[in-house]
Amino acid sequence: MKLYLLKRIVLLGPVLAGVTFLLFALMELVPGDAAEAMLGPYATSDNVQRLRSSMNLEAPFPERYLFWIQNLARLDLGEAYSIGRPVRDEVLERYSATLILAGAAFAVALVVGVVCGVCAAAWKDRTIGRLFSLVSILGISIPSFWLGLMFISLFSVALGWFPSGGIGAIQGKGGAGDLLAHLFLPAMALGIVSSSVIAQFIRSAMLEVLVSGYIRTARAKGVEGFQVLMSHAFRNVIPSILPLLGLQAGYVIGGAVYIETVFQWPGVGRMLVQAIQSRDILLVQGGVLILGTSYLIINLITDVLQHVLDPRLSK
Amino acid sequence: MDYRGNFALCRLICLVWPMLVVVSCVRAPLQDEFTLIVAQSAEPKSLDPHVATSLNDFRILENVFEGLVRFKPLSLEIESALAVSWEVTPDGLAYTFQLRPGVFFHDGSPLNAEAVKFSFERMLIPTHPAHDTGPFPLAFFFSQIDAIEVIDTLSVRFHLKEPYAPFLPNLAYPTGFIVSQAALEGNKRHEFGRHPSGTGPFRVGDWHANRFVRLEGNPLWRGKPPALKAIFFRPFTDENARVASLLSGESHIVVEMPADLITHFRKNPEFNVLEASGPHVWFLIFNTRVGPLRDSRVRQAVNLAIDKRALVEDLLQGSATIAKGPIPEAFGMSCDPTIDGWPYDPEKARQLVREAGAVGLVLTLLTTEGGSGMLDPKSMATAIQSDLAKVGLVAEIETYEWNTFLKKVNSGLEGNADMAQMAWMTNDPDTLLFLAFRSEAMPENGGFNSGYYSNSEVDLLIEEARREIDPSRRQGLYHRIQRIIHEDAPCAFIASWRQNAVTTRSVQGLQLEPSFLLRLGDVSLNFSMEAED
Repeated sequence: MKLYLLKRIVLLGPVLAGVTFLLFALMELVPGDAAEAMLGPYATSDNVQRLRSSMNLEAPFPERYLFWIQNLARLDLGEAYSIGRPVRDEVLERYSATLILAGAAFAVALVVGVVCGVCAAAWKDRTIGRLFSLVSILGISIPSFWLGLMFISLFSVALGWFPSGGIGAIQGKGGAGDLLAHLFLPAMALGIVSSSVIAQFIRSAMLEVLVSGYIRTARAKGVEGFQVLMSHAFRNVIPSILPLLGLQAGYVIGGAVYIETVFQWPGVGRMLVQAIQSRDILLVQGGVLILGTSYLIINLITDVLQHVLDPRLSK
Repeated sequence: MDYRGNFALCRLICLVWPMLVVVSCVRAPLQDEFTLIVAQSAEPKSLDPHVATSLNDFRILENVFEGLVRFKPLSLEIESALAVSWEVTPDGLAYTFQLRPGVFFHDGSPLNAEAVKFSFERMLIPTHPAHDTGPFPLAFFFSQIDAIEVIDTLSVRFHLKEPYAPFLPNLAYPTGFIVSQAALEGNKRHEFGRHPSGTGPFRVGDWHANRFVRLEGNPLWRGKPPALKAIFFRPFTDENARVASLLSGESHIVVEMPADLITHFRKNPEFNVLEASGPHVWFLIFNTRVGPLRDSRVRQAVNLAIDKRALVEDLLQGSATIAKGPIPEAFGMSCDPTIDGWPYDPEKARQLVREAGAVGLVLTLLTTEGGSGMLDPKSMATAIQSDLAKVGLVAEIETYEWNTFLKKVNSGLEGNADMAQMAWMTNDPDTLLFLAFRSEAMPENGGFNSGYYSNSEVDLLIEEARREIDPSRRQGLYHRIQRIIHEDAPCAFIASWRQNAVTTRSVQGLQLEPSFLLRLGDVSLNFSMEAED
C-alpha cells in the first residue's frame, strides 16, 4: 500500500510537467497576445512591438517556457496585466472561493445523491421510489447553468429569498450566515446534476446487491430493514461508487466555470472566462494549472481511498 | 397505497422547507438612501486614468478625478473644472491655464502647476521616473505637447508643436485627468491603479477584486457635498446576472442593458430607462486600393443597398441610430445637418452595379465575434450580406476573434478583404478623421486608414480643421469634409450606438452624458417614490 502511494505521488510530477507543457503550448496557439490586448483597438504596430519587447514576448517558445517553469518553481506566476496584481495572489484568492462553492456543491451532490439513490432502490416498486428515480433522471437532463438561471428567477427575483449573485453582501459584516445565503443557490444548481448521476449509479448498484444471497440471509435472520439496507447493502456499494465520486468532484470543479459566471461567484472559473476574454495568458495559465492540479490530487485521493476500502485491489 | 413512502416524502419536505426559510432570512438589508449600487459589465482593469482605456473604468474615474476642463452637462462643449480660466495664444501654440486655488487631492496633497506638469510628463516622457507605472495606451492624445511650463504655483502653460484644436476636448477626457504626484512618488506608486488619488467628489474607499469598488464622499471636496455617501460599482460579466441584480433590488443602476431586454423595462413602471446617443460610429471600411470597390459606383451601390433603418430598428432593436457620416451627431454643430447619408434604394444600387459591370462579383467581408463598440457584428454582417445579394453582389463573410480581426483590419485590407466592419468612439471630430481618413494614415505608416482612402482635398481640410481654433470656422471645415467623404463613399456609415441605463425609480438626478461618462455627483436616492405605489 505504501509503495503504491509512493508510486502515485512520484508519478504526479511528470503528469504535472506534461500539463504545464500542454498548457503553455496551447496558449501559444491562441491568436493575439497580451501586448495587443493591453493596447486595444488603438494599437499601432510600433507600440505593440515596443510593449512585446518589454514583456519578453519576443523570446522563442522554449526560452519563455523555461523561464515560466523557473518562476513557477519559485511560486511566481507573473503579473496579471488585466487586473494589475500578481497571478499567484489572484489565483489563490479565487481558488479559495471555488473550493467553498465546489465543496458545498459536492456535499449537496453526495447527500442528495445517496439519499435519492438508496431510496429509489429500497422502494423501487413504490411511488416514492419512482419519484426519486424521476427526479434523478430530470437532474441529469438539466444543464446546471439553466438550473442556476431558473433558481435566480424563482428564489431571487420572484420570491426575494436569496441574493442573485456574489459571495457576500456588499454592506454589513458578512459572516457565516451571509456566506450561506449567497452559497445556497449556486451550490444547489451545481450539486443537483452530480447528485442525479450519483443517485442513478447507487440505485443500480444497490439493486444488484439487494438480490444477493447474503442480503437474503440477513433478512432471514431477522435483521431490521434499514440496517440491511445501510450496513449490509450500501456498505458494499461504497468502493464501487468511489471512482464515480472522484469523477463528480472533478465535474463540480469544472462545472464551476458556468455556475460562477451565472451567479457572479468570484472563483477560478469566472476568472478564467474574464482572463480568456482579455487575453491575459499568464492568468489563464495560473487558473488552468491550479484546476489541473486539483484534478490530479482528487484522482490520487480517490485511488488511495479505493485501495483502503477494498483491500482486494492492493493484492 | 404506500403510506410509508409518502410519509418519508412529507418528512423530507418538512425538513428542507424551514431550512430554506432560515437561510433566506439572513439576507442583509440591501439599501439605504445614501448608498447607490451600479451594476457594470466588467471588473475594472485599472483606476489610473492614464492607464485605463475602457468605458467601464472611465465611468468610475469620472467621479474620482477631474481634468483642467470638462464637458458641459449633456454636451461635448468645454467648461472649466480644475482650471478657472485659460488663454490660447492667437497662433494656437500655447495654452495657459489658471488653476483653481484651495483644491486638494484625496491624499491631502495640494493641486498645483507641478502636479499638472507631472500628470502629462509621466505619460509622454519615456525617461520620466513615473513612466514605468504605465503603459499609457491613449497618451497619443497629447502627442502634440512640446513642453509644459510651470509659471507659478497656480499657473501652467502648455506649448504645442503645432496648433491642435482637439487639445481641450482631450483634456476633458479621463486620459487628461490630473493625478496626485505625491501618490505616484510614494512607495506604493505601482499600486496607484488600485489606490488612486484624484480631486473628484468621491474617493476610492476599497476595491474588493471581483466583488465591488466602493467610492465614498471626498471630505476635501470643495463644492456641495454629494447626496450619496457611498457608491458601489459591481462587476456582472453575465448580462442575465446584471438584469437579475436589478430585478431583485440588489442594484439601482444597470448600464449597457442588452437591447432585447430594454423593451421589457420600458413597459415596467418600476424602472426608468435612460438612453442617449454618443460619439460612436459603426461602419464598413471599403478596400479602395484593389478589387471591385476601387470603383466609386460599386461603393455607392453598397451604401444604397444596405437597409440601415432595418438594421438599427429591427436587428439592433433601437439601441442605435442611423449614422450619416464619420462625425456622429453627438458632436453637435460639427456634424453637418444637411447631409442625410445614403438612402436605402436597392433599385438605384442594382443600376450602379450593372453600370460598373460588377454583377455577381464576390466581396469578402471581415467581421468579428464581438469587440469594443462592435454592437452585434455577426448578425449585422449577415443582414448586410442579404441586402447586397438583392442588388447582385455576393458578400462572403469571414469571422475572426476580436484580436485577430483587429490585426487583419489594422494591417490594411489589401490581400485580406474587400470590406471590414469597424467601430470608433472618440471625444473629438478630429480623432477618427485624422487617424483613419488621411492619405498619410495608411497602415504601412502606422495609421488606421485600412481602406486606403486618399483625397488630397480631405487631407488639407483635416489638417486645417485640427489647427483651427475658432469653433465656427472649424465646424465649417468639418461640414466640407463630410460632404466630400459622402460623395467619395470610402465607407458605409451604418449606426451610432445609443448608450443606455436602466434604473430603479428611486434613482433621481441621473443623466446620460454624450461623452458616455457617468456623473454621479448630483444623483440621489428616494425610496418614497417607490413606496407611493
